[in-house]
Amino acid sequence: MTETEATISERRQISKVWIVPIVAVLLGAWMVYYTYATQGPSITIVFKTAEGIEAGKTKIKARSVEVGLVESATLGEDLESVVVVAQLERSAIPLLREGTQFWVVRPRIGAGGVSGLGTIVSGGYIELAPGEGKPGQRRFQGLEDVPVTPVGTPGLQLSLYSEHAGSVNTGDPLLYQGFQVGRVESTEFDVEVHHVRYSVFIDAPYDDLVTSTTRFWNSSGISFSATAAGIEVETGSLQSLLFGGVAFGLPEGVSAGAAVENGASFELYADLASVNERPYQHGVEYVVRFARSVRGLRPGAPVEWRGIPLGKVERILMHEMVSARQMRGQGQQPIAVLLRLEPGRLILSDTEESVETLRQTIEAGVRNGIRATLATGSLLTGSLYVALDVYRNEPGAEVGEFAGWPTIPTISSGLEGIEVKISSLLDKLNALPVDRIAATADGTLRELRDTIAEVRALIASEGVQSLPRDLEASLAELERTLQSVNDLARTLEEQPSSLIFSTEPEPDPEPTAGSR
Amino acid sequence: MRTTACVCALLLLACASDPPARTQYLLRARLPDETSQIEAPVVIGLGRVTVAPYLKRPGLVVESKDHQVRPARYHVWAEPLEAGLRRYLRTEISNVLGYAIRSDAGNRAAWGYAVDVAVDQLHGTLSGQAQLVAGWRISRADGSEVAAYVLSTSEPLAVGGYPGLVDAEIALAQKLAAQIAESLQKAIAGEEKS
Repeated sequence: MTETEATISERRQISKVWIVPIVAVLLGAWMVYYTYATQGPSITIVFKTAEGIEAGKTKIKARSVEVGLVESATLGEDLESVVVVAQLERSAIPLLREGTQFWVVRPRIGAGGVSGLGTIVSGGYIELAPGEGKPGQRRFQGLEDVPVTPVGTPGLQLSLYSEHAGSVNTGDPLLYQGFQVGRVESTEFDVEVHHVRYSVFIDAPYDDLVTSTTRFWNSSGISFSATAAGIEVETGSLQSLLFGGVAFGLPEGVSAGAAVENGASFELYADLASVNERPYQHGVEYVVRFARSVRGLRPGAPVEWRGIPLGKVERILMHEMVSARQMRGQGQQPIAVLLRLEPGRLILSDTEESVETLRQTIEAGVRNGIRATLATGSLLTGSLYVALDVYRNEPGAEVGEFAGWPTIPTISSGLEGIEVKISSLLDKLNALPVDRIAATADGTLRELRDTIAEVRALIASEGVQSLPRDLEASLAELERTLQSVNDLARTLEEQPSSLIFSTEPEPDPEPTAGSR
Repeated sequence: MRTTACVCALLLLACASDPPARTQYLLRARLPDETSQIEAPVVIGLGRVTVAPYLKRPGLVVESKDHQVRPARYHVWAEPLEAGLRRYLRTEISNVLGYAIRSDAGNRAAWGYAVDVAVDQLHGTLSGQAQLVAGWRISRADGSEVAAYVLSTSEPLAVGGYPGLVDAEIALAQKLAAQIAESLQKAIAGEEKS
């Protein structure tokens, strides 16, 4: 190869053709970055069903503003739930907090009204209600029903317990003197306490109406009560009449208690009458056992402390008595009666603290002679009640136990003594020879009748009838005699010698013949 | 001794002088008429018959001067004047009415009407008059008054002396009985009309 031989080498030059793909790649990279930088978080919502949810179509809205889109809806691992993955916008990040609620908005018809009609045309969507907890939450449990109270609404949330479900449903109104101040949020059966639990919400400022002594009752339906004044019909609002409802207030004679905290629990009474029957919420139960007939002692009979109402008779523990007999063998067993003593009936407040005070007082009192007796409430009806009193002569005792309840010792009342005396008296009466006595009495009465007839004849006789007349004549004669004696005395006074020497009396004056 | 015996004899002679004879008079009514046996249309009873205290002495009373009276010592009523008047009035009123009135005060409640009589004056005067002042009251069985009357009358003595006075007083008693009977008839008739 010569020096003059040009070395021909190809100049390496990038073809301009490559500009287009490079720009395309750069543009794509920028778009990827932009997309990543601007997209919101992906969240997971678990529903029980995917009804109304469609991947790629169903939107997620907050206050009717679109904030995301459902990307997928798949069955959960347990095959009993649906896992919905949704992509939210970045602006929705502050809404994703602990307590944020999601539910599917679709047409619904319920007690609270008709909702979601707009989704018939536009299709359903998932509503987002932001919570108030910690931010950063990305997995949520979706609600199957529309929450009746929006999250963050000021007010008071309470739990009501009832033994029976009744006619109260979610969305039913909560009434105070007929005015709706809240609503029932949910109902469920609590398997632990075997009660139906109602979650209710009371809007502010009506939450101040609820205190520790407030009572809740089912106001659904119509209540009839017959009184001396006639028949009283009581109903709630038309809404509660048709769909049910819960009312609350203070029982008769009970004053407002302390304020209650959010989440407090109350008993839900069947009706207002049940509230007034048991106006006190807190009480303590005792068992008293009587070795005599309790005929006339009915559930609801009063329990009195020296005449002051302290509680009521709950029931006679028949089932528990039978169980105890089986365990201890056949034998004479006293009748066990369950009492409920309520400190609220006294000056004490209707609280658990007062119950504890009452419990301690009774325990100390039993050691000092407090005993229970059966007393007669009415001799006509034979109704009985339980009377508590202190018997100083009784030896000290301790509170016992029967079927899990504490027991108060009992003593026999004077009633039993009276019964024994009456029985003894009846026995003596039975032993009396009534026939012989009757025969004797008959003879005596006959003699008495004859005697009375004789006395009447004697009184009617002429001799007895003339006695007053004879007496009157005798008195007149006596008067004349005294007059004569008086005359004699005057004569002797005037002429003492006349007793020996007679004096010629002055002759009587002679009246002459008269003329007409 | 002889002197003492003479004194005693004189005393005995003095005591042995005869007292004047005492004459007793009876306020006797006429015998009842047979008509008195008929049944009475209404039961009438003679209740209390009382006399003024000065007439409760046995002697007949003579008014000697104004406001001076003197009961006779030897001319006396044979029985208390109240008893005599009561019997006399019952008989005479029955005679006038025509049926017997009753005097059993013990059964006063069974009477339809009762009449009570009070004699305030019944005496003679020396001038020969017998005077009577009496009042009576008719009442129902329940004690309520029907009518009350007063009679004041006099009767001259037909003959002088006490027998004449007794006759005059009997005549006055008869007037009284007649007036009472008449008033009873009027009162009962008035009651039946009303």
